[in-house]
Amino acid sequence: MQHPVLTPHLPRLRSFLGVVDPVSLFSLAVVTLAVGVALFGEWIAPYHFSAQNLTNSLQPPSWQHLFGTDQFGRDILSRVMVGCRSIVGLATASSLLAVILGGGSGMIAAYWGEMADEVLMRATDLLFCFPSMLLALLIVSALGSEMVYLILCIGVIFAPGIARVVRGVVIDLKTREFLEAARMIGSSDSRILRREILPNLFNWLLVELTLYFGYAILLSSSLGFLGLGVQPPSPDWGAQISEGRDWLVAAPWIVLFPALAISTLVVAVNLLADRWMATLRR
Amino acid sequence: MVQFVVRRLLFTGGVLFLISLAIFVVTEVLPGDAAYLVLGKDATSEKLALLRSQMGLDRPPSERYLGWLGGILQGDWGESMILRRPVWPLLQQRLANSARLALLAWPFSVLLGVGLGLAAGLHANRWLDRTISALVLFAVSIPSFVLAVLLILCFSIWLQWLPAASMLAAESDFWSSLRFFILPTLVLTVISSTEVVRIVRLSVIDVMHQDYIRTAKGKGLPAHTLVWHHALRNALLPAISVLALNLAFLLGGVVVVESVFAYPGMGRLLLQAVTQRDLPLLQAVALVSAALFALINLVADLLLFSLNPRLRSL
Amino acid sequence: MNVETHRLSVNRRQFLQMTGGTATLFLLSACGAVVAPAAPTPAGSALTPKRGGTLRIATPDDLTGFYPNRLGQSFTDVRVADMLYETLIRRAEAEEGVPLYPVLAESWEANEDATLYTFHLRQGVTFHHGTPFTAKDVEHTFNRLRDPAFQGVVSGLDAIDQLVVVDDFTVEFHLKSTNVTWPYNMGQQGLKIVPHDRTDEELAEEPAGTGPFVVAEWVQGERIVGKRNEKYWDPERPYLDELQMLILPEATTQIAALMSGSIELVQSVERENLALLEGAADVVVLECRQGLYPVFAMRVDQKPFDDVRVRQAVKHAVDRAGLVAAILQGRGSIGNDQPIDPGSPFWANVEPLAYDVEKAKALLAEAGYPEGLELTLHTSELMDGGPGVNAAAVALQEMLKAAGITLTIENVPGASYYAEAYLQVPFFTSWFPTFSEPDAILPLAYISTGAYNESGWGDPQVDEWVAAGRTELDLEKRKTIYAEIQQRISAEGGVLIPYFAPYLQAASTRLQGHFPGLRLVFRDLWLQ
Repeated sequence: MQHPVLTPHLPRLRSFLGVVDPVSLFSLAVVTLAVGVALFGEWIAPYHFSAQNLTNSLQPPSWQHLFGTDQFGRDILSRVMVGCRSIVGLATASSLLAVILGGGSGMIAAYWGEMADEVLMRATDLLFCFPSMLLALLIVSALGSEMVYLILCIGVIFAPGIARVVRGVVIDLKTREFLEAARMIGSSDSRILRREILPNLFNWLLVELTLYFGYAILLSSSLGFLGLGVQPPSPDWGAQISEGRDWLVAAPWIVLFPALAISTLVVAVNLLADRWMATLRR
Repeated sequence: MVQFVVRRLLFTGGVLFLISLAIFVVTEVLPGDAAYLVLGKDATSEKLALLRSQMGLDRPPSERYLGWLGGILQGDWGESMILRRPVWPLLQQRLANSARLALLAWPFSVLLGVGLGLAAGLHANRWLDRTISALVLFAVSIPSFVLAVLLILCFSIWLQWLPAASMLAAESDFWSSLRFFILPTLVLTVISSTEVVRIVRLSVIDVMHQDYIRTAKGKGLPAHTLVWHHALRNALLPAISVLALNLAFLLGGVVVVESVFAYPGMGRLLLQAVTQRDLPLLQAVALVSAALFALINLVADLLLFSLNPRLRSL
Repeated sequence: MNVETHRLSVNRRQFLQMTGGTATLFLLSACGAVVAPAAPTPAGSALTPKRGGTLRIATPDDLTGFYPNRLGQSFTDVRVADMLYETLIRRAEAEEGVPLYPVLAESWEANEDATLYTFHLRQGVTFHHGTPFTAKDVEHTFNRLRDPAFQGVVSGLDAIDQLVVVDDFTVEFHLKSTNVTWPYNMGQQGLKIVPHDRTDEELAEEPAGTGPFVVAEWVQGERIVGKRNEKYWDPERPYLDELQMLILPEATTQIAALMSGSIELVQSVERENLALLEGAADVVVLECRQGLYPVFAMRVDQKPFDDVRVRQAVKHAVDRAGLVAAILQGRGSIGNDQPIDPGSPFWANVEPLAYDVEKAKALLAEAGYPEGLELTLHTSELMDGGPGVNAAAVALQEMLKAAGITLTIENVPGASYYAEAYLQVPFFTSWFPTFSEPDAILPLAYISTGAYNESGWGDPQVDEWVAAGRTELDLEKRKTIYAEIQQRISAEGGVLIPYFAPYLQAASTRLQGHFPGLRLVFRDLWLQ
């Protein structure tokens, strides 16, 4: 995790989003596309994602099937489009959860310090001792692969990382004059947290959210690849790659397109996070 | 100094205890039953009861936890339910395999990560930096299993240059067995060096803006002296924790890459233990992986402490 | 004619002589039975076997332990047991006519009504730990297996009334009733002879059989290595010095290893990889007579399958030819919801219920489901190693939809499958290997009291026929009985068996003496 190099006045969201360059445009376009497909994919997909045609199996990409077909003659494009929903939904929900958990505990730890800080930071240290995959495997196999548990699992795994960053930012903010001023005029703790710290923290949280959105896609597709992700019939991208691995020789397109979809989306998300981070540092 | 070390050691001890407790509790609530898996289609209630009592599954959890912990302290790691043999030799062998892979991938990731990070940081915002940063961003964004599967497709299936699995044949010599390590090492090096590049780059940029470097520059010291004597040392400090985490990951957490390449290391053993609900094996693997993380972290902290003059004077 | 078939014909003649007066016993090839075309053997030329060399075989999973008499929890368990231990008789399921070869029994004969079998044991055989093999070991093995506390299923031993040791090398099996399949039964894998002076625990630590190889090394998760048994009873065999089983769980990896010459045999080739293999040099693809079939079991004691019309609707809704084309890539044959496959001499060629969606809908309506039906099929990743069970389930989902059945597939984790789904839910998956002898599977899975009667279906008439099939001495009459049984199970039974998937193997052209089949005859293998 990067150690934030802080500047006193954090830019407002407008200037933050207003970075107009080809790379950001591309990333925004990809993310918008992904969100659009996640919302409407089921209706705009050329075929039903589970419609089979056994006489038309393992067809290479063509005009009828832009991404080709799989073993059952299912249209890969449609499956990638419908699979977008579960992964985007999962990543959004779990990164939000991670930001809420991690951001909240980081803020509390840094603001009140001492006991709260000690307890929360030792707890994150403890969580950090588990390799993320070990933790994910344990949680998912204990609770099951339902969407809720996957979200919970990924949220809990990512929270400590965010907590550390947020704690750093808040400790830094605490030394600022404007907080001293607020305290002087007798503002309550919760008012200071809400009115002074949260707005200044907001942009950082947004960057973390974006960053962890990307990580969540990676982790959940890895779980899908190991067979522990979202269960069929939902066409999970990771699971699609894992199943398609058997056909790597005869029909590489089954693997290539979902792989391309994951990579493009995560690249775009990371590019955005990168740009925003750079703006924050400026 | 002594106080710091003692506190850190005590903390690690506490963490290890909590880890063992957490692992035991989590594995206790896992659904599924190894006894059924062992018997499969032949599971009758008498056979199940017999097998369960053989496996010790009929004793209360607290008794089993204490027995388990006590056993480990005495060097007895229990017996695998499925394989019906002691866990420790198995663990040792898998750990050795993971270490073999880690010993290849980790040095590469250090060299690659630090080298690229330095190059990018010293040329901040110029084309070299941009190229390196873009590469890192791509490497971070591609899931490890996608990278692994694509490499297998390219090098094992289309070109047929390299084996797709880390098959450890009985009598192959060092060089021919090295071929099996190329692809997994490549993937692991890529995924573990990205964070190193980022952190080294950032801290180099940071260090180069410090007052003492500016002063030295002003004094007219040659650039390479500056880099080697001042920047490098200070820029590497923040990278130590990341490098340590990487090492711990390579030794005990490579689940996905090991399973793509069918590599018999800790990660795949973990996956196997989880899917088969082989509790003693799962508990042992999880404990060892987590303990490795905690211990390697401890070493990194102590190292940082002794290298950092400001901390040392505390 | 190559060496391989020559050797076979000699053995078959020996077999005829051995069985003497009771030649009706499982002598299928001699009776002109229907047999699938023989698969090609890799041994294409007339060559004399060569001594020496190391054979490397890919195996998909790890050994779980040395258990000579269990069916094994893993694929590899059984292969390793075959390498270390021997049965009295070896039945060659892979070969045409399923000949029975003498192994630890040199010969055997039955009395007039096939209630008493006498086995003459081979002399001069020693176990790996030095103890000579005698009738005492046979007695010990069978008594152990007949003990109800023994873990693992060995079928048909309850037919024994009494086991009598006549002398050191003669054993008599006194059976409760006429039993024509006894010698065939003696060839089952679980009947490996273990030494009387070793317990199961000792054998799990240090295996001691009479087999052609001894264990040299087992590196968990990596390989199992066998060394030539220098004291093997056949002075010429085994030909190989060493045998390595390399654990390669990924199909693609196995193929890549075979093509690069790192291994010589892939025991089971996924149909996905055929395209690649068929273009490869120095590699042959072998189709075995033996195979596997998926079972979709419908519990007849639960709704909605308690109504035979619902079961028939499901059977009518399945496009079997489509499944063979898509799941098996055309390498297999359609099934007709009963377990006897076209490779068996007893196969009766019963037409399966026709693929007819309208008929299926009509049957559902008749059974009280005019609006269609919702079903849940329970399966597990445990089925992945089988004959494409889970892929077939996905295809079924779409086929049943056309007939108005909404099928949900519930994937149960392996560790919970047998505890929570198997035999308990209305609709679940399973798979079995094919047996050419109907008596090897029918009493287990298709009579009312069968241990593996997965659908819970039972028909007193079928129970009677199964018993009659075992005691009938006349081969033609047996065929008639088994044809009746197949007809009945296919039309009314509780399982859907949409296809039979023969094993496909791939071997290096260097591998000789291998008859395409799952059960490897390690003593006969050699390398060119």
